[in-house]
Amino acid sequence: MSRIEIKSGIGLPYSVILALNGAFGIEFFVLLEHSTFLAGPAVVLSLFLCGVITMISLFSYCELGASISEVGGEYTFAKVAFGGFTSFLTGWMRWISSIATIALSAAGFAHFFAYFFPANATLVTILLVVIFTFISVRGTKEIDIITVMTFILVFTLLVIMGLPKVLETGGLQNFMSLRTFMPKGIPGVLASIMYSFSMFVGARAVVAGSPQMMNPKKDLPKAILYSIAIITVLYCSVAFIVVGLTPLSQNLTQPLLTYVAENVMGPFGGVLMTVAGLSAALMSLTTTMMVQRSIIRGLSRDGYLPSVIGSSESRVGRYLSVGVGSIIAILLFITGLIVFIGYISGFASLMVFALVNLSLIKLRKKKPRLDRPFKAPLYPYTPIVGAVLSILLILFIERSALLLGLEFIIIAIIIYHLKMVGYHRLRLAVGGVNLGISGITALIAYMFMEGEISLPITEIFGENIPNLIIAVSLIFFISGILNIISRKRREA
Amino acid sequence: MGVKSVLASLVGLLQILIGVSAIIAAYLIYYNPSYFEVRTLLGLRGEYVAFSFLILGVVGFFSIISGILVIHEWAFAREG
Repeated sequence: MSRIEIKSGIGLPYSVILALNGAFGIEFFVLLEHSTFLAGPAVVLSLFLCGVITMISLFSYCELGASISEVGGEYTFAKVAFGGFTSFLTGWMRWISSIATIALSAAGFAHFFAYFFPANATLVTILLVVIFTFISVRGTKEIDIITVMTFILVFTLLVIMGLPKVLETGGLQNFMSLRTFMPKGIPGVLASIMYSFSMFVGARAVVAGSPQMMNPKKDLPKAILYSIAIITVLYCSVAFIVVGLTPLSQNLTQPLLTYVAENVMGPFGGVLMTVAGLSAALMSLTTTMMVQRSIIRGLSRDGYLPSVIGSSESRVGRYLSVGVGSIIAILLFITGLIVFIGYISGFASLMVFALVNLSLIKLRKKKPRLDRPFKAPLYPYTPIVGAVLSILLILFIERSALLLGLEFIIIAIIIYHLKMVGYHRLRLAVGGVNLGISGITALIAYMFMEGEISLPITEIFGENIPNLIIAVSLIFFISGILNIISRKRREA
Repeated sequence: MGVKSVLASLVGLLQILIGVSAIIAAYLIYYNPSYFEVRTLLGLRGEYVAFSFLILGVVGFFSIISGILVIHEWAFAREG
């Protein structure tokens, strides 16, 4: 998550606030529970390593952000370094990450809203996303510094008041042996790192603000360093309290952090954490809507998407730039697969991080004389380590989410080639694939009729299954022909 | 609107419908909700779930794109 609107001439303290403002999102509130399930008490270690990996990659962000001051963030970095498909893929993945964050924010809001009003939480949340889609088109006010301070205060309070309870209840025992500390071993910790990754990535928000900093060369790396350090310490401390006070096998009916806050501070703590969760969800919604709007407009500006979507003058374009993503986010939210959405968010964020690190390496070679107010330390090791770790972590994603991520890449390839190979060539290709699918489905229908394939469903639907497959085959066949024969050529 | 445009619209819409159905099926196979156990209905073993999810997802998205292209080319293209 990141903020786009920034004050001009900002100093170090506000730069740190800006980074924290981006990082304190709903992700921590929503993802911590499953992250704890994956790693057990070692979630504390996972979060610490997440912070370290994020910091390594953010050095690349710092260098690129300080030397390329154009709007567009990661998409622009990749565009300057690589151009072509790589830049499109970076923008595409950033957009998907934004959609997943909107869905997570909605889910988080519903989860916390249900604490006060258990009925109709889903409906209220969908309405909320729709309202924020409209608000983001009209523009939003800057979120106050107080919000960041409130988050720090709430988490600090939880840690200070929770620590004696952890010691009293013997929660420390879980950390004493390797078996209880890492119940699922190293793979569990790695899966947890991958899953928790999107909790930290919001700190990159500060990079977008680098052109407005008074002294970006000094302030940008410091702001990154301080904010990641603060977030890592806070998140690890809160996770320590959570693991210390929550039996891992317990099935909770309320948000994990609310449960722990109630346990530590009584009913007041529950209310406090719920309000913090609701605020985080609203913050995430506001900023992510703006991020996705910016990305879509950038992609549209460069001709990858229809120009009407990126037009700020067209009212339809303004609504389309956020509306499409919001609809997908609502559909994702309705599925209720929060863990799955978390994986998608992590996958897309890690892909973007890998691509940004590779952009840095490429740009150092391509434009060695580019003015670089800040240089990533220990080059080339930091971007290489950042890229390799990001790609390695993707391998620990849940398999279905990985496959969906690969499908997103396939769609990106199709959309990109729609622009590059030309419309008519693409239609020829689509037509050819349609005929192929038609042939395969016809073969499947034949095998059904011959009894080569048999499913339990066949007994229920009888002979209708092969007929249905033949109909699908026929539709694909006609569609293939229609795609191959050009209307214009025939009319000419 | 000529016969070809009507046919193209119909085929395009049906293909979009097939695409959406395939994606919904992919979701149901993955989620396997208690009220509609698709995996049991199809006799699908656990190890094939990810593969089915991928195939149905790809075919679903492709079908939607193809349907849109057909409609765009034959039903909404301006007479020239």
